[in-house]
Amino acid sequence: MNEHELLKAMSNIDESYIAEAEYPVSIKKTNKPLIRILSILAAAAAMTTTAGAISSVFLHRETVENYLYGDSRKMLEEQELVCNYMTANEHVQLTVETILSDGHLLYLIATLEPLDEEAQNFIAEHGSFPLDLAAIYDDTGEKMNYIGQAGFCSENGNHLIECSYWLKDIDITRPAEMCFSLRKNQDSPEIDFIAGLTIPLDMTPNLESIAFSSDAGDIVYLSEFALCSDTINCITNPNYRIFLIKNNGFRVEINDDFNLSGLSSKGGMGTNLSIPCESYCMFDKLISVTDYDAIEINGVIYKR
Amino acid sequence: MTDDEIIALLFHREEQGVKEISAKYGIKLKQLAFRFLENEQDAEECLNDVYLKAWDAIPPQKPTYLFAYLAKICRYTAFSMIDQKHAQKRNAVLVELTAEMEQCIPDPSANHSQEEITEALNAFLGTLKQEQRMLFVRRYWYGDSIAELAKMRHCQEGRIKTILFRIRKKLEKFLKERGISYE
Repeated sequence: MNEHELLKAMSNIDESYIAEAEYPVSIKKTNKPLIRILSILAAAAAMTTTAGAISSVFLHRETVENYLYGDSRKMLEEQELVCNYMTANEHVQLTVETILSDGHLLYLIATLEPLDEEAQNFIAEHGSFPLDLAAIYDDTGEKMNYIGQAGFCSENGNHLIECSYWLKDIDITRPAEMCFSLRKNQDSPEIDFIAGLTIPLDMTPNLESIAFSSDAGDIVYLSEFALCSDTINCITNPNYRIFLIKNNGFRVEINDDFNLSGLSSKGGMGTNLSIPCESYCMFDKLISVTDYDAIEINGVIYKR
Repeated sequence: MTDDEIIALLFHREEQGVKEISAKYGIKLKQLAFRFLENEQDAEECLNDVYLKAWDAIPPQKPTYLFAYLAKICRYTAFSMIDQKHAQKRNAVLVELTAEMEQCIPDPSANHSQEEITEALNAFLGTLKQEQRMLFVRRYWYGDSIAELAKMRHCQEGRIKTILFRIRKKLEKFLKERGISYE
């Protein structure tokens, strides 16, 4: 088999995968009868926000499982890291499934459900579209940072949102809120059906994080859901091999076992900048940080 | 006209069914063919082949996803044309895609049937998250450029490159585990 044959063999992959990747994403058959939409709509009209932590079970398990693999969803439920915060307007209902923080990174998973035809059509037609998420301090109204984020349309017509947020230079002890809106571009609908949706933002760490340092004094942080550094761009170079070294000396390459869900760094992802800057990679399942004694990144050892 | 209505026309052997396919999906199919063939005339020829093959195959076949079904014929036909006409000179898109795919081959000397490889690919795609799978299929099935994917995902090109790199590494490992390797 050579690379051309592999590319040719791709022609015969399952048609459902080809259809799935066809965009704009089309909702084949909605599972939402209009009657249900109307009843939610009526409820939503009176609702601004509902109380958080409705239960210890995710309202949209499929959203969480889309981003976090293995037992992660179950682990979050057992650790009572289920948020289930709901807010809605007449067009959409937003459910924040979970907000995770290790003190360096904040990670949010949410589900946007259309409540009316306009929102339903927009989500279905655009598939992936950019949102603007602004984190604002409650007391002063000061904007902390700007986050742009795109989610994507799932088969059932919901818009799934995953967002990671760098917490450097942010006072995580201050109460805050996150505001959602559609990013304005030529495809934007006349009405921003998300505008005005806000959620309370608790950035207090709820996941464990441990610092590892090299002989040169550089520090990287390993938490249950990410590996990050705010001083060295050593993580996002795809050619670098990264190993987590267990207490018994066993080396686990994060490429293979952690199925990285995404990488990011200031100045461009997948790059190897020589200037100090933040970089991080997120895992797509939760890990136990205490299992590891050291980290090796491109031959450099970082110890606890 | 809905896909079901088009298929019904073909089942009744009405040529209008082909016209409706052309009206509904002709442009997209031609774009797909052109992406790999990079020649207007070849893309047109490929498209005509697609219509003919669809006419011959439906019935008895009744595709669940009409566009995916037609696109599959289109891609297969385009690759056959490439093998026939462009053996010596492949276009830039193919050169780029094959170079990336090279990283997924555990053992180029091993012989495996197309069916085996396709089965492995389907199994692999089933292990990916929906978003990763869509990116992989857009890149290596539809032949989208990195820039197009970055625009579609509203992120930097580097992020797309990195995600695809990781997926290719996973595919290499997966193929090795499935025995599509000499090891």
